[in-house]
Amino acid sequence: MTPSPEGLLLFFAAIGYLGASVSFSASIFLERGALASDPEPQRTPIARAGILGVAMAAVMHTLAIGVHCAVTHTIPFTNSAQTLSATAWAISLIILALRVIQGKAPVAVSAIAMPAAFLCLFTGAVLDKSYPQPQRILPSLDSSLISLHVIAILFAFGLLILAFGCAVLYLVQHRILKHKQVRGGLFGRLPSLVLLEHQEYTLVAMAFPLLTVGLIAGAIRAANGQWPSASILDLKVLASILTWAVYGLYLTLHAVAHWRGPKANYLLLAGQLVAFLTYFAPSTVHSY
Amino acid sequence: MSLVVLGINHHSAPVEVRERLAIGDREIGDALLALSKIEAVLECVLLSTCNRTEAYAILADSATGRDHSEVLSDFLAGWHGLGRAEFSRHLYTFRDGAAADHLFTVAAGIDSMILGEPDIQRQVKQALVAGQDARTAGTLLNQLFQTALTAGKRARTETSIAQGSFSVGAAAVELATQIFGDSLAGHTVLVLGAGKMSEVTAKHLQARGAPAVLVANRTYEKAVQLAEQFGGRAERFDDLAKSLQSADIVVCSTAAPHPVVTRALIKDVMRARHNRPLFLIDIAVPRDVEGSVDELDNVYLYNIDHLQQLVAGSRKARESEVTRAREICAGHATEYLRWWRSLEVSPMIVAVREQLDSIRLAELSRLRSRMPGLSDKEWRQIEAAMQSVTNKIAHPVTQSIRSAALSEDSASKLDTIRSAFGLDDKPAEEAQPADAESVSSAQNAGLLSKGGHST
Repeated sequence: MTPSPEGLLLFFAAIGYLGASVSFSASIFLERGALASDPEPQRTPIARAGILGVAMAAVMHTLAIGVHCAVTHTIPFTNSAQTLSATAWAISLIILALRVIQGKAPVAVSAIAMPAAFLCLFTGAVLDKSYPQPQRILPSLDSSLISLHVIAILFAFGLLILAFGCAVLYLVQHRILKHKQVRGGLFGRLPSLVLLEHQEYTLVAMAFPLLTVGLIAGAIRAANGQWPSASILDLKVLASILTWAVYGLYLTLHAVAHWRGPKANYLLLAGQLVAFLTYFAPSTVHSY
Repeated sequence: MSLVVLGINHHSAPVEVRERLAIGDREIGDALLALSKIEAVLECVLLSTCNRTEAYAILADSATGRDHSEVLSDFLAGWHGLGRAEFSRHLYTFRDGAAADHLFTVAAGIDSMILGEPDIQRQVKQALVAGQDARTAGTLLNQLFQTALTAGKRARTETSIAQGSFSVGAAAVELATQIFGDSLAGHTVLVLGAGKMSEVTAKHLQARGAPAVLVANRTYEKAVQLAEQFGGRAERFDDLAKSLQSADIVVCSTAAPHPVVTRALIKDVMRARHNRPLFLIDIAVPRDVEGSVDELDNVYLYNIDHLQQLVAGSRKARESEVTRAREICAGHATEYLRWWRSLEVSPMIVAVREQLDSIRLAELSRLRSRMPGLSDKEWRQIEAAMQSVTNKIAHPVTQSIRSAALSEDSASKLDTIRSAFGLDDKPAEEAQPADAESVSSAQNAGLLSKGGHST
């Protein structure tokens, strides 16, 4: 069977995600200067290969989404599988944006986020086979509010996955320093605790308004569409609200109670777990 | 008589044990006097640094039938009010040549946490001065420590052990960057105690971008002096909590016998500083910071042993230099033993010379009575000739005694020489110097040079 153009593009995107994952992980172990505040380009060729992999994946994934829209006349968020795949796309765009803003590749965070993106794409591709046809979005949902709802939440989740990466790295670095594992291993190869804490806070602070906008847009559209009031008890809706509440709690505790360190990072891990549940929670009002 | 060293160091015991056996600068004089009062101890010097506590002693062979190490370990236990069982498994003992070799490798910085570190040279010298001040370091230990300083200097200048060494300061910077990032700009360093090591560590941190340095010391004037060196600010020791609130990196090296930074203090400080990370580097022994402080969130405490782990990695690259430095130390240890053994036979040499001189004088006296008509000039010529004959006989005998002393069957060889000169009525043990006085008599007799080496 000849693969479709969309499938072929997604395949190349997957190679880009995988290549970037390997490159960033290798860079952490092999390129000591990769995390320096002002790395010398010649000292970080593997990290640079990683960012090229992300760029390739982002281009291929964008083209795949374009082909999907052109061929099926549907947006690529009509089921959970497609939403997962689109999350990978959002992650790659965020990493490229960070590369432009910071002037250097966010190597360590990308080493966590890129495998996550690859998994999202892979899982999405596997799950997509269980959906017989690309589904046209329901007319009742086909509105700009729904597009805002989906895209805002999509990018919010992309940012939160990166924050999750920061939290994982923070806890690893924290453990190394607390247990005095200062010979070999990952010692000296991860970003500093202060930098990771700053990055994860910034990412959550950016994700939270998007999440809020996405949820409000969804709520307004639900009200306009005269959905049954019971839809508030929909598991996917509840998981989304819980996700919002956890990250809201994180931001509040950080600002008011000066929550820092491992406790705050464990809260971020919990937030990501709840966010993950929103993808797979059964829903009566969401097809994606 | 034996040279014995008994000690505990960073190889044999963690800082938790070492700090219990540390002897502070202020009490070292009293400790030396107490040690010297033990019957078997003829000479003693104590070396106590953040990495080690070692007792060097010349012990009489008649040490009340006890093992040599017991004499010294009992002293350490008694001095610190501890049971010997609490630390005995961490102790090491060396005797004679091995003891000398050990001190020389210590002085060379080979045995240090940081390979080739120069500070140990100063500490060895300080230990000797303390022994001299307390009059517990006699000829043998004086010579031992002087040779150690020479060996240490040679090892550093003739090899590269001290080059490119990864210091405690560099280790502190490496760790600080793991917490605060590549540049320490915007982070304040607090130096607690005006010790040399904390000064060096703070300089490293400042070189990495830490803009502000605060110095707190019990003696405020010392804090002011040190703060001026950094372009920093002196803080009152009583305002420690306030200083800790504004500092991000704290280097502790006070001489306090108990922790000055407690868990309760840091808990309050962390609340006041809104849980901003705090990095504590405790290079003092005994430690300045309670160990349980490390259990607090956002607080990272590293003591001297933790820093050692970081430093240890840089040793491997210089192993060949270590071998060369060890050879230098071993050479000096052999020389020292040679010198010591020559001291042991010096009373015998004196006796031989006295025997020859008495024969010469007796023969001169007899000749004078038989030949009364000789002029003074002729007598002076005869006396000079007889003196020359005596010297020519004495010289090879002296050489033979010294080489016999260094040989394996020294006892039988020395007995032969002794009987040949009719010295049998003076047993070898009696002929050996039992204390510094007999050594100095040998020196006065012109058998030893001023520096103690055999002539």
